[in-house]
Amino acid sequence: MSTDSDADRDMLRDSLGRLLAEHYDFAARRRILASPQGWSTAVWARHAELGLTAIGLPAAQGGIGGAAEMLVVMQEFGRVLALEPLLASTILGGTALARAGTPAQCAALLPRVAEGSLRLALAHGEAAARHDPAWVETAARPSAAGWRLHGRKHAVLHGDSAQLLLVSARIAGAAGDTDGIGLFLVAPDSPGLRRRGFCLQDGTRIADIELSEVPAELLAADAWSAIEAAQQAGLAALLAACVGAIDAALALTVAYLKTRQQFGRPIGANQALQHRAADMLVAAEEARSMAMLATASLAEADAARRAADLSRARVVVARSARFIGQQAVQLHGGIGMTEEYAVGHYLRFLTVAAQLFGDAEWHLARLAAALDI
Amino acid sequence: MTDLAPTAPERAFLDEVRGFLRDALPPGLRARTARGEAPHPAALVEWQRILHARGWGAPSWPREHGGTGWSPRQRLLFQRELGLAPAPEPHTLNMNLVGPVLIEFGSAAQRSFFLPRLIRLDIAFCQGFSEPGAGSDLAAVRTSARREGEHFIVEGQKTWTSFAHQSDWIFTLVRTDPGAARPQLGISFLLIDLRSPGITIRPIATIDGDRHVNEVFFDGVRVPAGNLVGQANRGWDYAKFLLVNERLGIARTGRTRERLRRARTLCADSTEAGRSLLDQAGWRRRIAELDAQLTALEMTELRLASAPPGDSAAMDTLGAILKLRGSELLQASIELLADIAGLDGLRQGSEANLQDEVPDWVASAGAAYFYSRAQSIWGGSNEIQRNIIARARLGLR
Repeated sequence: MSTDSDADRDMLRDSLGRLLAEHYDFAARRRILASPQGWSTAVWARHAELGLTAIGLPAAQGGIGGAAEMLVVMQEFGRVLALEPLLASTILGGTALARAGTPAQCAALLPRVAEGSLRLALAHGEAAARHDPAWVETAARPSAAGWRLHGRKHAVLHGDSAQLLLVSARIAGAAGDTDGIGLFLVAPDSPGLRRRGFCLQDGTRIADIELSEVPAELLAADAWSAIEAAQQAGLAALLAACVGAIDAALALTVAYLKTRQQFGRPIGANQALQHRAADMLVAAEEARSMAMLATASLAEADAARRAADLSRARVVVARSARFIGQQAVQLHGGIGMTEEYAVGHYLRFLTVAAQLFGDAEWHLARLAAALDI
Repeated sequence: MTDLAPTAPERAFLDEVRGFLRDALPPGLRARTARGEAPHPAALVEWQRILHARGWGAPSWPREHGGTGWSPRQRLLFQRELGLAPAPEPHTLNMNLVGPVLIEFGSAAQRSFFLPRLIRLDIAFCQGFSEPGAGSDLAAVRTSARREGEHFIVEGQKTWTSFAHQSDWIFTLVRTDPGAARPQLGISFLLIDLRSPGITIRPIATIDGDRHVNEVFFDGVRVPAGNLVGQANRGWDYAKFLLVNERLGIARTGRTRERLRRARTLCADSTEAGRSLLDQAGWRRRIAELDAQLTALEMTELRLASAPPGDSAAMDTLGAILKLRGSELLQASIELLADIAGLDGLRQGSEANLQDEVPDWVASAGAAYFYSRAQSIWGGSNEIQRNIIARARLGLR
């Protein structure tokens, strides 16, 4: 997979689009969703063959492409509501590992992540933190036999099935400090580790993880910038997926407006519904613009500006996603409320997505505090 | 992915524009523009000539007619800087509306007479499209032009004519073939000197207490046949060209961002029970929310400006989006300033008798707010824009 130009990215979009259209229609997704694992190992293997699991990772460790390719891939994933752990493993885990790991650790692990044979999860969030990424209470203590971690991690994306966990834990300072947060490698079958898997409303798999004196291998003692980079890459990728879901929900809705007959004509002949659809299109275009900005901002050197643009993007996409998700169901009427019809699943995904990597309220508060306009 | 960030040459260009505005923009004009008041006609002429002397009088025109030859992105960046200054744009009716129509469809004689006068603002045009019975439905125009030898005789009435009282000429849509098969087919595009006998201009007072718009009556007005643009009965095509031309700058994001920045400053300067408004979370969040929405609009307009010239349906749609959201955010930013001004912004009276009582920006805030409500009405109301999006992009009908 070459990544040199828009044309190559169009090819990537086309080949991925074809693959997903073939193997990931709504019925196939429902079967995958109902399986015990909640995502498809076979589809994951196809992703790996296409090189998706390597996107954005360092080229020296088998990585391919960067943020622009990720935007394309995540949009297509959002379009079909893909359940596979690309965001959790390659983007969150891969980014954090590449930033925090020593050259030896990176060389040992990242090639396996890139080829899809090692799935990572970033265990960072904690219940008491809510949306504050610096709120880490989980503690790391050195012992004669190495580091030991103690605490609880909350709603870890694909933490239930990950083969290796990256766990953040405080080495120094107090909860809320960005200094003093370390990042560690933890084997999920370590003594003292208990993970309980859950399913979010959209089918996304998560785990709550309890750590009681769990042995851990240090990646970096001051890992805030690596964690932040992973969260920012994750947010940009998630917003791209939201745009794909928004496009799909809008397309379903417009098609329905054209076919559903009431009072002897398609309901889309009513101006009230036409104007609602027009407003949805406007919201979709704004979300697309901001997902592009979020992706581009990952390369922004000025940290304050990067953070502000990501927050702006989160706020706008969250507003668009809520409006379009709700109205897509509304314009479908009763059928939109049913489990067996796709549109409600887009509302579910968009609703879950709005709570990941900081909700709109948290990001708006950050923008309001800086007010650097 | 389209790269939206300014390139190195574009950043150098921005520096050049900023430097020029710092030196060349008259302070009085800057202050008046910031208050949202229409500049005095003489000040506008002076400013247009300053821009023209710099070679920037008509950014969207081809070089051969005194334009800049800039790319769409450059034109957009230039307009943003004007908005941020804030400085008036090159005379919109001359440069963005009638000028491009003359360049595209005008005769050699029309081009050589009008274009140099338009760019120097020796002649200011106003737009005679709307009529009492033809607002959003422009094809319903009834003002008639009957050919009589080398003249047209024009009878009828235009309305909502902005700045007619400060203009020299009017470009009009007139009905030249009342028997045409469809109403769109019998319309012509005619230029009329406002000093012609038989023209009466009557002001329409607006809810902001000022005069912006007029009724223009035509009573047996003789117009030389040479003032017909293009072919007779093809005026609808030219009007459509005019209406979709230069949609790019229609969102006026620079002006809106300038207002948001001013809102932040004014919040800092305004106190409530001894506490700055800027220390209150509600005001900060309101500005932050608008900033995020405005950024989305700026990115959307940059996408449009960066896109290769594509199919016209997509351009129509993006133009409609920019008009719709541009007017909404412009209104929201003016509403924010009016809310910061509070009750003092709602005192009636001229600036002159209020200036001892309240600051200029407060005195003008209420009027600016009321006048801003027109933004979602003129140029195709926002409901019309939604119709366009639903039809052209979503195929709903």
